[in-house]
Amino acid sequence: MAEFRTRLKELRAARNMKQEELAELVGVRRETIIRLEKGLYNPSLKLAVDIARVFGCTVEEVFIFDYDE
Amino acid sequence: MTSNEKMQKLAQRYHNKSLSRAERREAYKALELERYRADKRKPISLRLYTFFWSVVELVLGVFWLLSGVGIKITLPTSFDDIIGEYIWVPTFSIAIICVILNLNYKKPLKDELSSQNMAKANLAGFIIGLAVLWIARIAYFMFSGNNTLVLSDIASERLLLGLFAFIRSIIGFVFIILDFKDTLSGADDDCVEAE
Repeated sequence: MAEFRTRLKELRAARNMKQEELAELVGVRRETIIRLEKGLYNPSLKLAVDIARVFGCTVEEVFIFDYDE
Repeated sequence: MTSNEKMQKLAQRYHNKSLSRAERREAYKALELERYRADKRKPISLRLYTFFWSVVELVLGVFWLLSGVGIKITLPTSFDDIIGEYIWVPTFSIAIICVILNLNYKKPLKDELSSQNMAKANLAGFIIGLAVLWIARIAYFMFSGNNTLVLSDIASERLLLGLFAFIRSIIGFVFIILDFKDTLSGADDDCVEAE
């Protein structure tokens, strides 16, 4: 079982970026960013890559899956 | 690169015959996004847009359904006559409002979450819509007593159109509820204070 969490809010805060701005950059609505930040939504690979590119990180640095050993 | 050149490039990519289905879908999404960005009309939120269309479809659906069933009420002025005679009034006014709205506002983009919510809303809306119609039917047979209401000729095409519009409106309302929940839960989560 893997627990899904994101560092989206933290990365966004570090760049002083609003949810709306991030949404605009990756071509989604603010509601999608809200759900992503809360870890309630698994993004498509394309969206994950787009978001990672905005922050200049890898996908694994933004979206984290904690696996129970 | 200007927006026009970008769109031309994306359109060329989209029409490329060697693309796989997934690649074509991605190319189409990119093209739609670019078109949306280039559109000079005012933006409107997807929720407001869906709400507007749901209200339109609800009004039209109810009118078409009533006129399609052709319920006669044994009153001095028949309800059916009023509906039949004046059905063009809401239909025509709504058509004008739709044209005005579409001229002034650009159609909002759907993203992957809204598509997912719409898929959920389609199922729920279809079930709820049919349930409402069944309840209305049961209520009609329970309370009409065949003395006050008489079913006259049934116009199938109006009935079908009405049913279609009514169920679509319910789907729209369910979508708004699903979508609204997301915004409420993260309304005060923005890290940056509004200027």
